[in-house]
This record gives sequence, C-alpha cells and structure tokens, in this order.
Amino acid sequence: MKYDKLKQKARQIRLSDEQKERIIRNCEAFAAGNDTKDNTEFRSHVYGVERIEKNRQNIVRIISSMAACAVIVCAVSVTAHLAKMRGGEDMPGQSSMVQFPTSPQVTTSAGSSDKLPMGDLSMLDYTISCPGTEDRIVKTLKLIDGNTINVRVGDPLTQAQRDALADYFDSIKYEPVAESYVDNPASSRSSCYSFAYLGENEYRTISFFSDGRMRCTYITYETDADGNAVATSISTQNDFKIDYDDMMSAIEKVLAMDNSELNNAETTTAVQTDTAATAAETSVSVPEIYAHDTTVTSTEVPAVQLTTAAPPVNNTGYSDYYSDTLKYELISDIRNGYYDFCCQDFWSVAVNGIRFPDSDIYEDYTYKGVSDLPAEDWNKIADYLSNIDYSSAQSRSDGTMSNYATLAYADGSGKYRSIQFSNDGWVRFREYECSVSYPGTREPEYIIMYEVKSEDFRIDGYRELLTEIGTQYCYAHGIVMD
Amino acid sequence: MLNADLVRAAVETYGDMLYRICIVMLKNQSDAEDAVQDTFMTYIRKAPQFDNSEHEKAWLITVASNKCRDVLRYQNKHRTESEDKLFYIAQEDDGGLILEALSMLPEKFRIVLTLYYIEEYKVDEIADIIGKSPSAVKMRLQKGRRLLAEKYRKDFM
Repeated sequence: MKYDKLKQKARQIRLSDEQKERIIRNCEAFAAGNDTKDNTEFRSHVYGVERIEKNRQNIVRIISSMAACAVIVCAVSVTAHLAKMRGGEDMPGQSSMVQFPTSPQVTTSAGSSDKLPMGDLSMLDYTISCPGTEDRIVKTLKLIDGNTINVRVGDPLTQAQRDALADYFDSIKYEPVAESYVDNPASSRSSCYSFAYLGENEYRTISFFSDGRMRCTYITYETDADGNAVATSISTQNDFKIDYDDMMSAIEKVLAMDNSELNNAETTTAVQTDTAATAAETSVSVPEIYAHDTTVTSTEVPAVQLTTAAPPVNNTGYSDYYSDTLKYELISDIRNGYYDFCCQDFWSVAVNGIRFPDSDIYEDYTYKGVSDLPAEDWNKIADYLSNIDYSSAQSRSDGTMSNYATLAYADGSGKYRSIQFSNDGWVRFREYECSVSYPGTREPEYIIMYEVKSEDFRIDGYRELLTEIGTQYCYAHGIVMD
Repeated sequence: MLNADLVRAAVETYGDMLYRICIVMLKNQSDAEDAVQDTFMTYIRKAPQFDNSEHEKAWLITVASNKCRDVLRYQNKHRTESEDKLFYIAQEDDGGLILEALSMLPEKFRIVLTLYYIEEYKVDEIADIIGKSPSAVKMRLQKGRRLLAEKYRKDFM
C-alpha cells in the first residue's frame, strides 16, 4: 500500500481562505458573545434528554449494576481459578474424566530467590496482557478436576523490552509470602498487567496485586491421544513480596520503550476460567468489590484529572424517553458497530477509574469485548432490540443482574452505555455520564460519574441469538458462553 | 473564554490539519467545516490550559474526532444519505483512490490510520488522543491496514 501517496494526497486537503475567514469570523462572534450558536443543534437533538423523575435506587444498585454491566470487573483471575482448582484436585470420580499422561502434581510456593522465579524474561518469550490488549485464546488446558484453563494470545514484547524487564526483575530480591495467604478482593486488586509465557509443554504466568504481591504460576502439560492438552503439574501460590507501585511504574516505562514494532504477532498468554460456577461467582463478588474497596484513596488520583465540582450520582430512569430518542440512537450505534460485544466471561481489563462522589469509592471501570463483528451480526442484534416491547419497563427488585453478554460503548466524551443481557430473561439499558479529564492525558483517566440512567425489560429469545453470535466470535477467542 | 486573537492564531495553525481529519471522517466539506468550527468554539468556551503545543494539538484532534462522531451519529439517526462530496480532491490517481478507500473504512479504523499515516503520530500519541491503549491502537492499525488494502484492491483496482 502506498501510504506516502495517501499522505501526499491528504495533505492537499486544506481549508480555503474563504472557509478560514468564515470560521474565524464565526468564532470571533462566538467569543464576543454575539453568537452563541455553535452548531450543536444536532447534538442537543440527538442527546436531548427528557429528564424523568429520579428513581430512588441506592448506590449499591448503581455500583453492582455498573459492575456487572460492562462485563466488567474481572475478578476472574488466574489466581482465583487456580486456587479454586487446587481445592478440587482430589475430587473423587473426576480424575477419570481426563486421561493424564502422568499424575499431575501440585506444588506450592518457591523458596527465597534473587532471581525472577519464573525464569529469565530476556530468554523466555514472555508476553503481556495490559489494558486494551486484544487477547485471543490459543489453547485450552484440561485439568484434573474437569475444569479448563484458556491460554490467551495478546501483545508481544520486543527483545529490548524483555531485556529491560529482565534487568528490573533481576534487581529484586524475592521474599515469599506466607503459603497460607488468601486472596482478599476487598483489600487487594489485581494489576491490569500480567505476563505469560507459553512454551512447548509449559505455561507460565506472572501477575501482580495491589497489596504488594507478585504471583507466579507454572503449569506443565502434555498432549493426550485425542490431541487434548492436559496439565501434568501445576505450581501455584508462588507469591512474593514486591513494591507494587514501583513494579507498575517499571512495567509502564518498559511498555513505553517501543511503539514501532507493529507487526510482531507473537504470543501472550493469560488464564481465564471457563466454568459457569466461576462466572456465577464473579457476578456475586462484584458488588462486594465495589462496595468495600476503599484501598484506592483520593490521594492516589491525579488531582488535575478530577472535576471536584461534579454533582453527585443521580439515578434516573429512561422511561418514555427511551422508546423515542435513545432507542433509535442506541440501535443506530449498534448497526454502526460502535459497541463492543462482551461475552460473560471475557477477560476484562481496566480502562478507566471511576469515582463515586457520594460514597467516595474509587474503582476501575473495566470491560473488554469484541468490536469487530461483521455488520450482519450487528444488524441481527439491532433488529432484535428493535422488536422488543419497550412499553413496560420493570425494575428487578434486588437491583442486581447476572451477565450473559453485554454490549458496551464509550464515546470518549464522558458517555458510557451498556446493554446487558442477564442469564434469566432480562435486558438492562444503562447510560453513565461522567466528567472526563482532558483528552490527551494518559490512561487510566479518573473520571467522575455523575449520572446513571437505567431501565430493565423482560425479554426472551435473546440467548439463541447471542449464543449464535457469541459462539462464532467468542469461541474464536476461546470463550465459552454457557 | 479565549480572545479572538488566540482563536485566529489557532485556526491558522491547526485549521488545515483538523479539516483534513474531519473531511476524511465525514466525507463532506460542509460537515467537515462545521465540525472544525465547532471544535474551535469548544476551544473558546473551555479555554483549556495546555502543557505545550503538542498537547494543544492533541486536544483539538480529540475534540474534532468527537465532533465528527456526533455528526455521523446524527446522520445515521436521520438517515441522511448524503452523497459523498468529499472527494473533490480525490482524483484518479493512487493517492486519491487510497484516500477514498480510507474514507470507506469504519470510523474507528479511519481515525487511527489518518493520524498514523497522514498526521504522522506515533502509536502512543494516538492512544492518548483517542483514549485507547497503545495495544488497541496497534491492533486497529494492523486490522485497518488489512481492511484498507482489501477495500482498495476490491473497489479501485
């Protein structure tokens, strides 16, 4: 492709002197206050909101729904699953489900070491999962308890980056954390960064926790007669004390080193659970994480990025407004592919931070999904949503929603929308309006949510549609929709 | 509010660049001009403080791309299938045809490719501007390049 010619041609596009003068003239009039018209009629029309009476729904509902809605909050972590898996390793009767070449051994905790417990990053082709990584799963490992682990592919690291990471990791003295350590999501969050290495018969991951731990996992696997990859040994809970902030800072510096290698498509890996049980566990645990996580204090948030004058969170139903304006706009956006399609257990990553002003809680706002469905599928979803009877909005009494699949959208100017399909016949439309920091600042941007609108509807027939679509695209990423 | 002199200087400095981006995004001169004007009016109204000229430029691009997105949504809402008036500039040469192919890609690829290949921003700078991670930008670049090549081959060769 002749990009130089593209650039050359595009550079010929210029404002004519007449256009420039017209803009300047209008702007000067606007600046002088003579003309307040700034061509925003279309937006006021599009976004014109009939404010409906406030719905008295409490912050817990906002938080929990918010959390569940954008597929959000990936409390599903390598560690949670592996810890769970360990508990089930000797479940009777299940070992016969998978024919292991050898008996899998689970080992715990490594000893003190001056070196990175998971090997030399400069030698091993570790890769990274981080916000925005377009992960895809390349392998599924069967475990003795019948569960599976998905091994993902994401962003490669350059040799220079791996060398720098290796230098950094090698400079640390690793002190093991007590083996009995139990993950506590109320006091610790997993980092949005994790490293993984997929070798011929081994799989290694490194993840980080905000309470100052680095966790390494090491799995060996073999391929059975049916071609299935089955784990033969699992080493988990290798937790080591780290300076979390320093670690994150070092990783970010390394990531900033090289942005030029765009075509290296190598492997990154991360683990995700597939089981329905884990998914259910996630949806239950999310509100707790949001409600109790006060580990991030306002002092950690760059003040320049906060609008302290933001009004408190309101919760306003869509009601009649929805059926007219918003419905059309949402469906148009879906047809345009502006949404991400998020499977329930899609690996999600932190993309933003949100402050809930009336509770002073900060939390990551996370979602991750597939945005490149073909138009045909977006249209199918849009058609389905067009035909729902929107005349009778209802609210779930407990305010919570399980999550079967979610469509999520952020327009970059402070408006977030989600369409969340539950497991039990509900769809929830939500819109969040947030103050945002200046565009151009580096993520995570801390934003203040100052309004939430929400409406629930009873629906049916969506699972078939979403499963059909999800099967094609989420399965392509190794995601199972149950 | 900014004063008129600053606005004039900003239009002189950034007007062409913003117009270029808007016209690739909107494929319509009038809409692009409106979006540029709207961007500068936002600039006047908010009078943001910038660290440097690059920050200012990135801010303007971000605002302009959001304006374009608003216009696209409005057009879609009202089903205004306006004929593509963009390519008064696009003639039957390679550059013009590639430009036209670019304008036919989905918006999210269009903006990334435009910023990368036309405005010569780096990946991390684009990430800042569009509010995505560098990884996401890389992926969009990769996919956008592939889509652009396919579109060009299919429609213009």
